[in-house]
Amino acid sequence: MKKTLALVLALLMCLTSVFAQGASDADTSKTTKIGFVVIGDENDQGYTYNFMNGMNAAISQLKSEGYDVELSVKRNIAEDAGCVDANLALAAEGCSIIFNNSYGFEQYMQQAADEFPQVKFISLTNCGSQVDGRDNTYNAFARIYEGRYIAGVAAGMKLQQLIDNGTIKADQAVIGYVGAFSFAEVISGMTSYYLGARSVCPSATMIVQFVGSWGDPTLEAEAAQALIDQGAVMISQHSDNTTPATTAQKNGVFHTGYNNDMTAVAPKASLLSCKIDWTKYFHDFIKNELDGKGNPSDYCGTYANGEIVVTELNEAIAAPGTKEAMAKAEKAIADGSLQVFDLSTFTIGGKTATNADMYDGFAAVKGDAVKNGAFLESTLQSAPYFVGQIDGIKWLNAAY
Amino acid sequence: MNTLVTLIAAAGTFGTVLMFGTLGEILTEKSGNLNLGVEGIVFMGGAFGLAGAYSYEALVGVGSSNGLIAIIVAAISAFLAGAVASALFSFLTITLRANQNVTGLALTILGTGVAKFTGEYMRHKVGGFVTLSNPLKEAFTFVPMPNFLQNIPIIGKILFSQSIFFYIAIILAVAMHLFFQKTKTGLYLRSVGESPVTADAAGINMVKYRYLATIIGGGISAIGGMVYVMTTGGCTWNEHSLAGIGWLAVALVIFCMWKPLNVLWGAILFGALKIMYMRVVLPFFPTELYKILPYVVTVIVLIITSMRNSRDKQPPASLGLNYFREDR
Amino acid sequence: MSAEVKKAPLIRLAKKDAMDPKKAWAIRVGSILFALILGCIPILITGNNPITAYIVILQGSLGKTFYFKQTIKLAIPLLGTALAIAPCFKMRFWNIGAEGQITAGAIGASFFAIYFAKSMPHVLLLIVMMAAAALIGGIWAMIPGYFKAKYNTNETLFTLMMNYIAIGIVAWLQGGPWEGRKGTQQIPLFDKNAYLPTVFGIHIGWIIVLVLVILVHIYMNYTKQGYEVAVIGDSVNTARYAGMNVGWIMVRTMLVSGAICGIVGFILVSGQNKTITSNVADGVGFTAITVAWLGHLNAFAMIAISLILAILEMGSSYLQQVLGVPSAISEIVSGILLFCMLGCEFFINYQMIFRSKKEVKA
Repeated sequence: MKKTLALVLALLMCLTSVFAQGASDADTSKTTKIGFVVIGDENDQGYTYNFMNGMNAAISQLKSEGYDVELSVKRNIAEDAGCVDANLALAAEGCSIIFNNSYGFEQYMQQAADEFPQVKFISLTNCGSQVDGRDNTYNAFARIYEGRYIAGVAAGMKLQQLIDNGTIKADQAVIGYVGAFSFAEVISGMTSYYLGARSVCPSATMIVQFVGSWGDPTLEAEAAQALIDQGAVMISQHSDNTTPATTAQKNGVFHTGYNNDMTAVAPKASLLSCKIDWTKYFHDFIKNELDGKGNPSDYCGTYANGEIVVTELNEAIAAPGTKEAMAKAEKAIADGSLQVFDLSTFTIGGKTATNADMYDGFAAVKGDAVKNGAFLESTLQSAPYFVGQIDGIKWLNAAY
Repeated sequence: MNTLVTLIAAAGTFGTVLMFGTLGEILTEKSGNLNLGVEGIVFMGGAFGLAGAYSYEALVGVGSSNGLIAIIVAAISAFLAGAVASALFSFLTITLRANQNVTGLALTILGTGVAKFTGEYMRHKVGGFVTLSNPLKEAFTFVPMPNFLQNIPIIGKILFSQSIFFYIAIILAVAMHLFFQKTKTGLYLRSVGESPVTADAAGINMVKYRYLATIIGGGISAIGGMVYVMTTGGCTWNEHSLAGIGWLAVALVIFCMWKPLNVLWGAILFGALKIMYMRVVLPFFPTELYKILPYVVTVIVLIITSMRNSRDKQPPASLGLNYFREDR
Repeated sequence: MSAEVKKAPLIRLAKKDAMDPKKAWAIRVGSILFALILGCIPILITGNNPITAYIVILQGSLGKTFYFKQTIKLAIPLLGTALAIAPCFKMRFWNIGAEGQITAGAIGASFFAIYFAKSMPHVLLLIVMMAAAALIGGIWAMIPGYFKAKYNTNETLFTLMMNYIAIGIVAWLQGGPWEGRKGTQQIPLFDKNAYLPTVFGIHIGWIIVLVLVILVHIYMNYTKQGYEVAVIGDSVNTARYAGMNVGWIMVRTMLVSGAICGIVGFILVSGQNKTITSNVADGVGFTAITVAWLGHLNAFAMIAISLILAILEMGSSYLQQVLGVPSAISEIVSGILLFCMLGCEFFINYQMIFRSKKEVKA
């Protein structure tokens, strides 16, 4: 028994020394390796799919510009110690820039960042880099609330059409929202969406289900079903899969999506989607690093830069005039005449909202976001911090 | 009332998945084999069901695929995957006499591995996401009942608005009940699980019964995974969302006291507990704890039945034990 | 049917007398090699050369100091949990609740890490965390042990259910009392005061586990309690005739087993995760059962088995990056390995006697 053990250990030692040679040789090429830790994979046809599309586009763009870059992806990584390991493994493999695509990754990514100070770590959609005291961590997000507002306009136009047709009564214009978790990113998104809808359909109200998961197709479908059973005639989502769209179609109601054009999945229900196009950020970040220019520790993409995209309107089912209404809102947002969180357009508890009602005390950067009668989202930090529960939106279940 | 009706109707979707998983495991356990590989089997059923339907569609072309054939192909692929996995389990535990618990867990490791490998391999091959065309997807969720039945108040929504798999599962449960209670083969099978010594002495071919029950049971459980992926899973592979279904099925077998007819309502109840937090909010009860209720209830059932020690509500007496004739 | 009974079967099986240990281990090593050959099939399907793939697996698990460290980190909880399970399985008490006992222990340790990190000195805090983990893990395991002893409740199913109850409780803590930023379902990292120190770049969980190897080995082979466990494993009735309190021994052994699982939970939260998530045990509790069983409940053999599985897991993740072979290959090869090793015991313990002509005539 002991002999066997000694033999096994000796064998392991030998192998270690043999392969140590082989592995260290592999890292000497000039290629810049880019690492990407993602929470799902392309099969979600939503969240991770959208990130991967952006990354692949950025990589091929960089290659066409003569940069020698190569991508290495870790898929289906959970928000736990596995995320530390994934980051460490990519760094050990020789990646000099590593992106992480889920909010919950940041605290694990930071542990890897401490072990590899020369590697740049980017936590997309999170907000710690400005305050964590590390030089090699970054954040990025985009003003997706602007895109959601415009998607909301399309939804509102449809609701108003249903009211005008007599299909539903004015007080039946209920939007059902499938949210992942009840925190700022989701709350900010759903509120802007609702405000967009209400700007063209004044009687619209919204009910929200929090699923408790970013991506569980069953629960997302069930949340959508529960919303429809409680009167929703329009479904929107802040979750990773397409099942809310298919559930909407099955029940004969309408839908607007997130992250991916879902009109192919549910042609009779899905009007359009809004998403963040990450191509520019990925491209610029990597290029800046390679050129030795450095990057801001926190970056926020905008509509004007083409980083927020509203996918093509499904005109077969959209209300007439939707395109024009959307274009009008787009223009107003671009020239600054329209503030999404304009305090005159909503109330909290029947009163005009104050910073304390709306500002997320857990945001990394503290401050007053109310200026000139509007709540300015994503200006103090890229990640959203609006957490107000405005009148007209009803939380059915705030467990998550 | 309306909340209750919609809750039960919605629970049927996930409940159907559990019905297959549980019915398969009941058949297995009745023979005395405790197959803890169900988790892996359900995974394999999901992956191979999807792979089967996807290959079928790729083979005949998107336009000319037929929904019914796709369902049959998916079901057969899943069944075969589960059957092969269970055959391995049987070979090890029955012929090679390996420990059932350990072999079952090994099968769970192998099965989830094979399934994830298959799912990832397909994605890698295709280079984007893997899914079916919309008409085929709709075939899997299609409600095969006529409208007038669907429109009956209350029961129309609960009983007649489900996918075809729901009805197949019900037929299966009833058939299994009749098989156990009314047929000689069923009686022999039960005696194999209850008292191998007696069964062996009576000249029943134990090996054959255990093999067949485990293999067919595994195949049925695997169909549960396929139903999950093809209905609620949106016909795409997601390795996280299948996790835990197999274990839930093991719990449900106990909850249903190894009786197929109990599965009909037990599965709906467990399905409802999974999603109840979205419909019924109790102010004094944290909703996350709803999700452990199935397991708590199962534990209570286990304890009570062992305390009462009544013959007909027990696990098959030799459950989990291998039978060695020479050991007698 | 009756005909079958009368005729002697073609192959008859008989229990072998103890085989020469050298020969037995040769068969076991042979089964590992056989499994590795079978493991080539999925690699071939992906269009890769299996030999290259195995070399890549070794490179990615042992080829660099960093990889080696990561491999050890994976092996620590596997080995620790396998040690915990050994006494139970020796007793033929099928405790498959290690997953839950690890999680329960992790809750105990996390409680002190969250509420007392600032008010206790480093070493004391770690000791208290470990003690709390052992206690909670032990209690969690004792519950099914008690019901088994008292009412003969099926322990396999009971311990299995207890897993999901423990995991559910962490999920609740994650979104409830211990949640960090509201709505994130995430418990923040512990204070640095609650982290396990590192030795040779790996948290000292490896030292704790190696100490446990020795302690468990002594416990099982050289103590009265270990002897009692072995007697019950052989025959409950013998133990009763010998005047042992079988029920109490069951409960006590489960307490020991759960306590060790709890310590693994402590290592996982304090050394590896630096916080607690519902996924903290991550299947270790199940895989460790196979480790314990394949190591024949021998504490030293378990070191080798847990290392092999860790090498496979770590190496496969590298394999996916290098050759694009899905990393689930590690679970497949592990599964095949387990099957082969489980199966080979048959050839060690039994011999096949083919029906000879003489027997047929008789």
